[in-house]
Amino acid sequence: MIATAASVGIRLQGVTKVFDTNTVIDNIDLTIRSGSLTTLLGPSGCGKTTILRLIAGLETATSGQIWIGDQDVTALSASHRDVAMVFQSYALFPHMTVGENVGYGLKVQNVPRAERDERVAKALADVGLAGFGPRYIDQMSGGQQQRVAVARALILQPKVMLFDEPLSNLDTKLRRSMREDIRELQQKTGITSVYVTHDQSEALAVSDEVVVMDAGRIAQIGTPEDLYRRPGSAFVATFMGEANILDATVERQGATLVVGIGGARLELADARPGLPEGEAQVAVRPESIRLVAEGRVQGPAGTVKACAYVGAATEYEIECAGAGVFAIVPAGQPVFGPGSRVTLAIDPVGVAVFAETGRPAA
Amino acid sequence: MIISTSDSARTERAILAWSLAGLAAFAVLPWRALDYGLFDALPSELWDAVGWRVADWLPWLPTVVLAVLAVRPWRAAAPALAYRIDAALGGAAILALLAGAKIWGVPLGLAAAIQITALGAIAALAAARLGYVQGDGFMTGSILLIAGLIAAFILFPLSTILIRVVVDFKTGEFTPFRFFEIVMSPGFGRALWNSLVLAIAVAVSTTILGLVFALYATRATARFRGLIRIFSILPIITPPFVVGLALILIFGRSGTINDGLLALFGSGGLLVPEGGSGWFQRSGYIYGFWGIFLAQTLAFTPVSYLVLHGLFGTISPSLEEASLTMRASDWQTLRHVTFPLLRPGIANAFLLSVIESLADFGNPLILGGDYDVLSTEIYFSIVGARLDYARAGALGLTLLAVSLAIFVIQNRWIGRKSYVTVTGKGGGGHLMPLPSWMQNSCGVVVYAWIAFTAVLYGSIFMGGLVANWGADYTPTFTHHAELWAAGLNYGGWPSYLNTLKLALIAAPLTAVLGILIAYVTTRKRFVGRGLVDFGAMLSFAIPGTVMGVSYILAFNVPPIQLTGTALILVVSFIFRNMPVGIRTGVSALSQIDKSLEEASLTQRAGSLRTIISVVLPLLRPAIISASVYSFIRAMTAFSAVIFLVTAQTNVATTYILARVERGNYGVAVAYGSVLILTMLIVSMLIDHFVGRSRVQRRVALAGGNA
Repeated sequence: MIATAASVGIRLQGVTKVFDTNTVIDNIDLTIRSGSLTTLLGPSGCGKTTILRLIAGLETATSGQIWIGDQDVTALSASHRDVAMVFQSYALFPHMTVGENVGYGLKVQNVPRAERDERVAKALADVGLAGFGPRYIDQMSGGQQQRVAVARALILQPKVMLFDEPLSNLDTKLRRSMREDIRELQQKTGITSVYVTHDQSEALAVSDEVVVMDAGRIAQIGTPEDLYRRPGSAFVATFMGEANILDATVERQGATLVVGIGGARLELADARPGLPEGEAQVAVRPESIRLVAEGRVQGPAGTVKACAYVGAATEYEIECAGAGVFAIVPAGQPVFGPGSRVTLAIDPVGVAVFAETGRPAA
Repeated sequence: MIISTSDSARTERAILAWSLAGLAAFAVLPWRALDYGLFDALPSELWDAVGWRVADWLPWLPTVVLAVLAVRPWRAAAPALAYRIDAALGGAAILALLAGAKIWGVPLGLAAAIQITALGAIAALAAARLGYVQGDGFMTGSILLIAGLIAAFILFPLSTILIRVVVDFKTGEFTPFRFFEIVMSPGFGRALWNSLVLAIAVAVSTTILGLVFALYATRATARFRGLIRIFSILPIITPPFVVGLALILIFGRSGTINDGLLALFGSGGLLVPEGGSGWFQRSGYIYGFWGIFLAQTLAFTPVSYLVLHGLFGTISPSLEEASLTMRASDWQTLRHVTFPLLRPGIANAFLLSVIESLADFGNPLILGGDYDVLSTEIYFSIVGARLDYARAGALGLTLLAVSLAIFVIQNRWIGRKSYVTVTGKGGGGHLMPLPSWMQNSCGVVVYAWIAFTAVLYGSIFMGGLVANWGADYTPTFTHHAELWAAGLNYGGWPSYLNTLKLALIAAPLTAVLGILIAYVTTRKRFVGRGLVDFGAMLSFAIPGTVMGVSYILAFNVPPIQLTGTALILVVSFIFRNMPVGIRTGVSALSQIDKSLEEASLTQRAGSLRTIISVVLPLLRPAIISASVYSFIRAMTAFSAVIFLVTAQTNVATTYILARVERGNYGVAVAYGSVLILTMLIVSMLIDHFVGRSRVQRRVALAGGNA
């Protein structure tokens, strides 16, 4: 993250947005560091796109204030906010060529033709589309349209870049390379960027910081690793990757927490204050569970209900003390068929204790 | 609150420009309305009507306010306070001006209109700076303009009807029970009952026929499609009562059928024994319920066909295929899958036909005989010596209430109860063909209909080319010669050219206003959207006769005094046909991804710029088709216009009606056929030149991506 002199932060203060009677954003405070790429992540309907649109000026906050740098932009319209946005549908003008699309903002600013052409050519080259200027949008592939949209947003050198699920219309392979390109462009320009997605792996891959949202509120803010390793709630644990929520006992022993799950005692290096003790729920990542034949080790015992071979691993559904446990075991380990009695061997790295209980993500 | 200084400077410049425009209008343009209209006034009359020469203090009121706004003594105050003062002052000056003009009876002229616009624009600019409509000056101004126009030309006229009913015109007494007295008076209940019976009967027949046509068009044969296009366009380009005229030519007292029956069965007829008195006498059976019923069925079936046809297109063939794979027969599939899916559409077509039938005025007027309906009763209440505006008003309010209620049911209840979901995953499967017995019976109905329509339109064209239909079938051009050969100031020319001119002025304005309303109501959230929505909905439901009555009541006294001018016709065309623009706009906008506009806004384009560079190019086909349709509807306008025309501003339809009333059917249908041809040519030319452009295809593509 390169905070250039020009880049500015974004600040939301007590922002609430109500549509009719439906509170979509509920009194949110959020600071986005200058020069960072921050992802808003959450299930559909959690309000992440609304926050993006509030920052863009496409929606007006019902109450609260929005600051870009040291300017209060709450009452400013989108065209006066110095932001640029890449839309989910790309929103490329179908009646203009690629070059006209990219140069639209410059034309609006009355930039002279020669300079405009030059900057359009450079912007197109930056996204790997040199020479595509005269084409119409319907002659471009989905991935190319995506690049045009990015070029159009970058050409105005905005203070803030906003991405609204920019990759959701692309196929898996293209998505991976595009997200790397976006990350690289953002690093190069240092423009403060906000990126909305519902895909947690995309969020983990591109962000400096991730804001997990749930039902109009912020569930947790942190680096991708923070959120995965130390989720603050069952919701975050289950939304950031898969997790089994299991009943356990938690005991504090100096700098470690000792978590007891069905006879196994696991020592966790994470002993932040505020974590509960005694009876509690913990999250266990499916890839940190190994299966061994029953009785070989101390640990929760269960019965294999189903197993599925998925190439690099075998996925198990295990019934364990009345609860369903999901485990992903890498190829090369012994395979247990349905009905086998097994004991779960849990790697403490994949176990998280959280301060808040509450519902897991659907 | 920090308001960026460059934006503030721009707003202040705009406020100054509007104030100066308002002051300039005061200096040189007529402030009072002119007795003979702007274009027919003498230079001295124009000069005497200029604001500062009028011996009245009212023109000074907005002028002084505008002068103060030009200076803005509060410019140094905090922006939020200063803009609040601008907005409040602008709004208050408009209200005070209108109230003053109303109380002291000053008719407002061109300069006053410009000053009101300027004050409104200033209020809008200031309100936008305070954050109204996402801080957008142009949009705020548009919304204010729309709200003002709806208030002035829809809500205000309707309110005058209400006032006329509950306040005695001569004594100024409040008469709250007058409405009930009129409702209980003889004839009122019968007219209401007749209207409802007729409307329901017509709606049943048009819905069934529309369904038959839609079934046949979508599932039977491709050959039929060309015919269907003409079929669906004909009633639109036909003036409202010309079908009625054709029915008179065929079925009337001296119509073809009567003549034929008389020749066979009448006294001395071919099949009557020598010397027998015959079994048949001339009969006026077409006048009354059955005549109107037939004419309206002919006129409104295409509407119900278009509604149902549109719905058929959205039913996914895979639903029928799923039913067929579950061993249902064709008929069972139609009965248990297709028809239930169509139910909301059928209800929709039915209710639309009820509204159309209630509002229809032309057909009951010439075919009604003694079958009174509400719309004709309204007319007869104020035509001639009777001049009973209270009765016309009460009838009008009743008619409006009924059609509004049905419209609300149609819009709110049926509109939401649609099962059809457009998934965008097209391409798969075929619509099931009809069972053969059904296909054949539908075919019989369809071809019988087409033959009947052909005979009717044939009689319109032939009727103008024979000496005296029913008596003397000698081919002749005398009717056309009387209309068109006597020079541009005689015969049919003045009304024809006047209609053409007014329709051409009104059409683009109608399209733009309608589409702008569609744009703000579908795309923007703002305080007061309820009023705009309500006004737009009223314009859909308001019958032409009610509008006509309300316009004479509202606009023959100050502040907006328009009676007798050509302007009132243009205004009535615009607000009567506004729904056409709104509908076209709403459906075109639903094809355009909203993020296109948002992309433009985030590219630092203001909303005016966005509309010009992004929205208008994409809406071009919609604007053209809305203009053409409004043009055609203005050319054939009748029910509202009949209350508003004068000898100087006569239009085509009222000219034809005058000829019908004099029993001059030959000339009437000759004129009617020329009118139909004019509009056929116009609509085909436009269709040919506009067609489906490259832009339109890309719009469809962009819509599909979203």
